[in-house]
Amino acid sequence: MKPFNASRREFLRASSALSLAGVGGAPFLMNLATMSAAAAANAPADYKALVCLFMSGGNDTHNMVLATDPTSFASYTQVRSTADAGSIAMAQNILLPISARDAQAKNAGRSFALHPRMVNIQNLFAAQRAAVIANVGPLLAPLNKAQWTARSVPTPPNLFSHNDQQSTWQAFAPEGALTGWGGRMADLLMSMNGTPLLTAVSTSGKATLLNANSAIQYQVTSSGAVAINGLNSNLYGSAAGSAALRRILTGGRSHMFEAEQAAITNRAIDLQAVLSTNMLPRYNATSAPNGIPDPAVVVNPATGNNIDNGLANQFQTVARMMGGASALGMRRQVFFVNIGGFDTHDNLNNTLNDLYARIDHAINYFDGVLESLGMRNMVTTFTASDFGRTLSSNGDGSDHGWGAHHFVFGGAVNGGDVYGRFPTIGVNTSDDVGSGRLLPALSVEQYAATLARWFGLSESQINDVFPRLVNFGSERDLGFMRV
Amino acid sequence: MNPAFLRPARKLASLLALALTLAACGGGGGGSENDAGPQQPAAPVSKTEAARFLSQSTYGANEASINHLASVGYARWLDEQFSKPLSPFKAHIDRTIADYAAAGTGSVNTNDVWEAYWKQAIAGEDQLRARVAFALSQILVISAAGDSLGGRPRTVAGYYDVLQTHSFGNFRQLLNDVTLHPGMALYLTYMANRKESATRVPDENYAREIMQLFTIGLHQLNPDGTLKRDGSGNPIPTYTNEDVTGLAKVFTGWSWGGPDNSNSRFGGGTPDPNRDILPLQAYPNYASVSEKKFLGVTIAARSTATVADMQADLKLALDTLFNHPNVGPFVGRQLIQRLVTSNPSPAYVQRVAAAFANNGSGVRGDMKAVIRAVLLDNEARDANLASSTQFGKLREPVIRLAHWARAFNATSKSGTFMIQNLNNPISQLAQTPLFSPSVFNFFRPGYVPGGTAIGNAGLVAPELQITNEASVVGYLNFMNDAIRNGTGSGRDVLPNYAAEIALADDAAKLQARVDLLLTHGQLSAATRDEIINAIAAISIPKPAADGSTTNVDNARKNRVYTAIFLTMASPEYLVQK
Repeated sequence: MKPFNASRREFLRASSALSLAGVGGAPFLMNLATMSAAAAANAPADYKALVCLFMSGGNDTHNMVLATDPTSFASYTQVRSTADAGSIAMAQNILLPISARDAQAKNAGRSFALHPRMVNIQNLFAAQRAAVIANVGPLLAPLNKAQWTARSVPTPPNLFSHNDQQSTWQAFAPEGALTGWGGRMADLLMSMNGTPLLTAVSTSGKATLLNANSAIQYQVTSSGAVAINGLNSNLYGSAAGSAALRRILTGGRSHMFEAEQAAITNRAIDLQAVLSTNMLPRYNATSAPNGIPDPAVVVNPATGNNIDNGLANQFQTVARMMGGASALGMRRQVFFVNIGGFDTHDNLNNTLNDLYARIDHAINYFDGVLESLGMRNMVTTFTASDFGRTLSSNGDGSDHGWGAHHFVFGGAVNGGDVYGRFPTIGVNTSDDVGSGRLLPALSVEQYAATLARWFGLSESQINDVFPRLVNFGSERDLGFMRV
Repeated sequence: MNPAFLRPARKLASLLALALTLAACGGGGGGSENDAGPQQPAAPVSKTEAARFLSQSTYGANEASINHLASVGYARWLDEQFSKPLSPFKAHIDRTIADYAAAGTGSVNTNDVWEAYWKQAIAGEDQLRARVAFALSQILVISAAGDSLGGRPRTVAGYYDVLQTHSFGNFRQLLNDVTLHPGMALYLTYMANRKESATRVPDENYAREIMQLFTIGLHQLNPDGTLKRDGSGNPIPTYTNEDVTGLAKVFTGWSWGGPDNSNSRFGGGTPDPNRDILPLQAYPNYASVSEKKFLGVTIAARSTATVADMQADLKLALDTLFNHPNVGPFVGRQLIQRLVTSNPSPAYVQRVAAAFANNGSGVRGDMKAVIRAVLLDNEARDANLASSTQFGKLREPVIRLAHWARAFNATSKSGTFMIQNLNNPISQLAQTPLFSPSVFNFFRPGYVPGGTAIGNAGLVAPELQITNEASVVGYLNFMNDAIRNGTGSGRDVLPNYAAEIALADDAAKLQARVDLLLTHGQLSAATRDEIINAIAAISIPKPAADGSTTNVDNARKNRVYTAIFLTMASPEYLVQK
């Protein structure tokens, strides 16, 4: 873990780019500055958290991480450009170059750049707290184009289907999967935690990733854990009514659906009582000086209007939970946050401008908050999405694909590099299964197992959680996490 | 300021009309027993049976509808409902547009669609059509959440009217009108979809989702809805990605309706004033002419396309989907899930699918036959089957609110039922009609709650996908408040508890009435006793010395609130059985 002051300086430097279109940076920093050093001192000694940033709809990462060497970019332009107003091919001169350390030498001769809305991520990459993992997707075993064409190696069912590939990314099985890999890790590690029921937490509804056998996925919103009115005080003026309400809500049930409804309600009641004193509040100068500051406002680059960044609000909620981790005796947590809108069959340019600006802002906000909490090296955020998309254009959008590029963020990341072989750009290449849908070079299980090893799973636990990892031989760790 | 207040004149007129309607039929929801025409003979059922049937077939029971259904029986009630005129949402939007125009200010938005929705749900006579249309809106999904339809309330309303119209029509015509509706074309991005060229491919969105979600699903099904399996035990896909790209070509060249099919109009120029509700039309200049292969069908390449060619291709595509053996079990199972139970037996699905395949007169896709099969099936009707620990479904939050409003004869101060966005999970209902986050609806028909006895038993529980530690609190706190204070913008929707207050001095009678209206008598004895005791614990004081009965009235009201809230909080209510 880096010395506190050094990382503080880094944060300030990185944050100079925070002011998306010039708003909000200064008050945000002032709020952070008022957070007491005591908050950092309270960080638990052995704490690690994984945060899944899910991009629902299928992120078109052809426009998020671009190969800018002349051969690649000419091919990108040739396939993607429709040479009209709706064209989804970006001009090279607006892209944000990133300089990969290229420690793996797989991408010699390539050069890379990010979407123009990702200026903070560009800085995080330079500060080696962000890495790109190229062309990841669900696979059952290593697969090349010839095997795909001959159908000689099995592939995951229901490719290109939103709900099934969301589930496959999160649970290695299509819709209906009983356990996700985040939940399976939670099952293994929840006994380390003082409050085991808070091992897996979602800020965005039920997530297959967090489905577990013993652990549960707890849902918390930016309003925190809210109490049920009439439960801890009189119901319509009656103490007897309140007591009856508690028994009716929480009593045992034989009907399966009633039992599950009651179980969820029981957890809501019990964990609200726990979190009412153990979840950090939102920052307020007078009433909550130790709280987590609100994110700054984001400016929509297409309209110039301010937008409330719900994704950053979810990261704030996660940080408020993390700020209470020490008091609750938490040592391992898995979080799920979500941003939707990526199904860019049309209006791709405007949509990605907006969504990437939100992600860039939220990631940078979270990086700053974690630094203030002294937890930057303890928390790793990774991206996931239904699938990548076609390189070919349908005029102003793209269609469902398979492999895609992803980011991993945090102080424990071996950042500043592009991991995995970046695909050849074009159609009818050895990396293309049609219209520029990428045949994944890395499996989600390899990507996830690398995170799980950092998280503290043993090799045998990793084999349990990621049952097909053994099919990928010695490539059990992609190397993007510091040991 | 709520823009709805900009049109007081109409609101007043609507209020008067509503009052007259209420006076004429004694509270709404029931009686058209004097309708002329051929009818099934009356076949009376008990009040609890009637209330249970109404929970499956309407937005909820009230006293009048229970009494009416109990007297005429299911079959005749269905015939009565089939003959009710529909309540077009577009008419509400158009009236509102006219009001704004007369006022010289204001414009319609999605709130106006929700007003039409809640007016029908709470006060509409056409309850069966309304409930089936709502079910269809969760299968053939469009949503006002998002940019494509968020600013087009007239389009959303017009789309819902298509669903309403064909709720009692034929599924083939429904498919046609959905496909050609600008609401679907905008939502699934095939409006002005162009043929392939050297630099572009057709948009595949609709081709994929009409197969996966609207008609045949991902896997080949047996007639009972179970999966067919290959020799290795794996499910058999219904289509490949090549079928998607092939079918996508059929959905090229379709764009806005209007008086001509000029290139300008295709691209959005010279908009017709009614294009937001007019069916799409064919623009052959933009239609793919190359070979189209999908689902075993091949349309040969052409040198040029005509309007007639495009219409023939579309007909062939929709006929192919409609006649696929999956449609009956695929759609039938989902209709059962929306109305009756999350996990129907294969035999039940097969009976509904058989009705889809043939209505008895050789017609495929007759929705009335499908609805009868869903609601009159022994599995839906047998109260003994309902006592299984697996039967039934979690009630949708939106339907719980409508049920409360109907059961207690709620009225709208403005006449327009100003209930709006209800999405916030921690303070509202985590669900808003016509506002799902994607074409995959609020919840999936195949949602399996992991880590639960339900999932481990191999069962699905769609509505549990939006049920979590936040939403259970949001629902309880929302209803706690609504039951006492009414709901909607400016507390526009207010209940009428006169009948309940009249029983308030007798805890058991009050509880029994609320039990019939809300759970058709399905509360456990333990919960029933809890509620009766909680009611009785609120003592009814003597009138004050000055003769004022305010304290008595308040105590009676608190008894009513307690009876209703405890019932609606109970897991026995929340799971419709």
